[in-house]
Amino acid sequence: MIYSQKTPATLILGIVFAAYGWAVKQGLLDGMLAYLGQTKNADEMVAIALTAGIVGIIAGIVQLFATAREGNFDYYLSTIAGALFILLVAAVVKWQFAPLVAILSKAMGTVGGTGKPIHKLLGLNYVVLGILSGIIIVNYFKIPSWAENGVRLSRLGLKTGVILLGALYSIAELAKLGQLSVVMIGFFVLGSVGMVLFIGARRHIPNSMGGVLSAGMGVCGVSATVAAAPVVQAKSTEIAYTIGTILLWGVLMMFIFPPLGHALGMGPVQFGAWAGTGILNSAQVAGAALAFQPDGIETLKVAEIFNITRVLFLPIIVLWLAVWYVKRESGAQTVNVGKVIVGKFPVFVLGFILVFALSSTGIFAPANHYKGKYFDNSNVSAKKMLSDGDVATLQAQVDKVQREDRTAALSRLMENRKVMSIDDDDTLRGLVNAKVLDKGANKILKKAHKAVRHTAKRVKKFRQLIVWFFAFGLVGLGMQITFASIKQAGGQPLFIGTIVGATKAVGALIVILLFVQETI
Amino acid sequence: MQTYERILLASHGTQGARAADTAAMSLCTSGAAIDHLEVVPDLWKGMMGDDWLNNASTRDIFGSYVESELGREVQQHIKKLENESAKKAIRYHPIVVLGKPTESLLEQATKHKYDLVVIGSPRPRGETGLRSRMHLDTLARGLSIPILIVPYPQ
Amino acid sequence: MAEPKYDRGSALSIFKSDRAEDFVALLIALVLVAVVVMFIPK
Repeated sequence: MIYSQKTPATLILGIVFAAYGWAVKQGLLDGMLAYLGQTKNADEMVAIALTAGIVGIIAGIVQLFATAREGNFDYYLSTIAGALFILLVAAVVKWQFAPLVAILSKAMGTVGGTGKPIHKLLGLNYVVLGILSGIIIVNYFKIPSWAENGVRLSRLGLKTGVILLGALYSIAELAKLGQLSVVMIGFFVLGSVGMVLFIGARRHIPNSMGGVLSAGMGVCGVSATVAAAPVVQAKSTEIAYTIGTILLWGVLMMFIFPPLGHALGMGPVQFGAWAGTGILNSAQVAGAALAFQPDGIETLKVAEIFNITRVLFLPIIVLWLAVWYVKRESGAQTVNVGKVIVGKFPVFVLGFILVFALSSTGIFAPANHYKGKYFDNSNVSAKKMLSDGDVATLQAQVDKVQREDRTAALSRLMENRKVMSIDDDDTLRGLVNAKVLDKGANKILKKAHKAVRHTAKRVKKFRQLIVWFFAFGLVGLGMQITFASIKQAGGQPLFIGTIVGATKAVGALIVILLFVQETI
Repeated sequence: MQTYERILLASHGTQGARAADTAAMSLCTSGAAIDHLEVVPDLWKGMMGDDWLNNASTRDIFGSYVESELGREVQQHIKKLENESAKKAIRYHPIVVLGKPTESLLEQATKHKYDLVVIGSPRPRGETGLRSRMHLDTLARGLSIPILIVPYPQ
Repeated sequence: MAEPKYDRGSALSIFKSDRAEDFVALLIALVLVAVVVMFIPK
């Protein structure tokens, strides 16, 4: 079978990317970038557009002029056009469309008494718009046939993103997030599976429907439904109802969660935990996390730990349902526990752990880094030390400080002209936030803080890469959500799913607001 | 009652479709032919949605499970019609396609010279089932032969 | 029923098995890690 098509599309995509990258590099688009507020992304544009451009041009020429022969080369070559197609959608949305929407929405003013423009309220940033573009393309325009083969790469993109994410955690962070996610997921998975089976029994739904629905509601939405359907021998309509319901709620929740999170003043950890527990379908968890915080990935980091925990729960649930079903139905096949676990174990989670292990050796950032920042006061240049004038300004206001630890930290700072320890740094930051001193003094303290806090450059690069892998993957997954399947939401699964899904989202929200602290 | 030589029957096992089956049978005398078009809606292709966590093997098992499940439903229906038409000495020919119901029917209608197309009515509100049905408007515009829409059984 | 559209992989992935997909994802990630470590100063 020959896969690559004699289409000029790849070459054209390559030329478009290359031309765009070149234009940005030459400064031809400076005016537009400044208008869109994208000047800070110019380097990223040049790097990505030129790379994609070169790949596209070479692949395009080979596709057009060389005779295709069946084999690996032809097979993998045929995926490039589709990959560039997804990348183009992601890039246009991230660099042009989302900034434009923000500008237009700001121009329309704030909505009612909320004090926020409409795009902030609806969370219309590049991630949400990217997924939407994917959904719109597949449902209204159809994916061009030359791109179909490459759309199948979106899962690869997401998995690579998750593996790279491993580089960003410190051991302490991972341990705490891991504990939190196991407790939350464990509780809510068991809770919702139990709830579906309970409501299902009262409404007399067949066992096969209860089984497939509880898996979908409990663990990772569509993925769990796919895994559980054959085990509980679900009827075709039951599968269609369940998947339709999950997709419908998944897409809706992706729009509802982020604005609600902002309205409730949640931080990255709280929101990540909430989305990771409450959103039914796992692809939308990542979408909602990035939608909540598009400029940083603290939320995504938290949410993905929850996602990984969910994946690890999947085989357990499938096994449980298998046992449950075998007990109830005489015709059911018994299951081989070992085979299920080996067959369902996601190897990319091991990749995540491997990269995390690499990261904890300290090759990406000093081992004591926290969220990509670390404390180091050994090389503070003379220019960044406090000047005599600075010390005099601080000295004049020392009396305003009440707390002893703050006075002590302040005096050590004045004595050494730089922050001496990580604890001092935290204490002085608290002092700044408390606004005890006047503006001038606070400015000096902030300067002293900046001199000893460093962003790890490699960690920063990883963040950029990860954001792109997720954007790529999510746009591609958007291209696989069809209205025809969402429309199948119906019957008992829609009713029970709505109750259980809403209960889970609200329950998780309450638990998180009550018990989960923002600082981890 | 007028009878027909060759009827194109489009139905797939729902209650409304069963009514269409019965009507098509009664419109044929012995020796007449029924081409039975059974459309498996292509929405199934989108049914794995945006699952990205499962292994390929899990997806394969799901895919072949759904296929065999759909196949079983289709076969049951066909078997039943086959028996009924054998009793009445009607030549019965099943056609199974994967696609969109309306488009598939229009396409099949051009393949032979049919006297009549028989379909069931859309299911009444409140009845459950897949959301994939004939667009009557498109059919009315696209067909060049008469169409009979059999009322939903009370 | 439907004609096979791809003689390898599935409609969802270009790889024959997810194990392969996972390993390729790991490979890409490791290559990127190596590139970052080589070209970006700590």
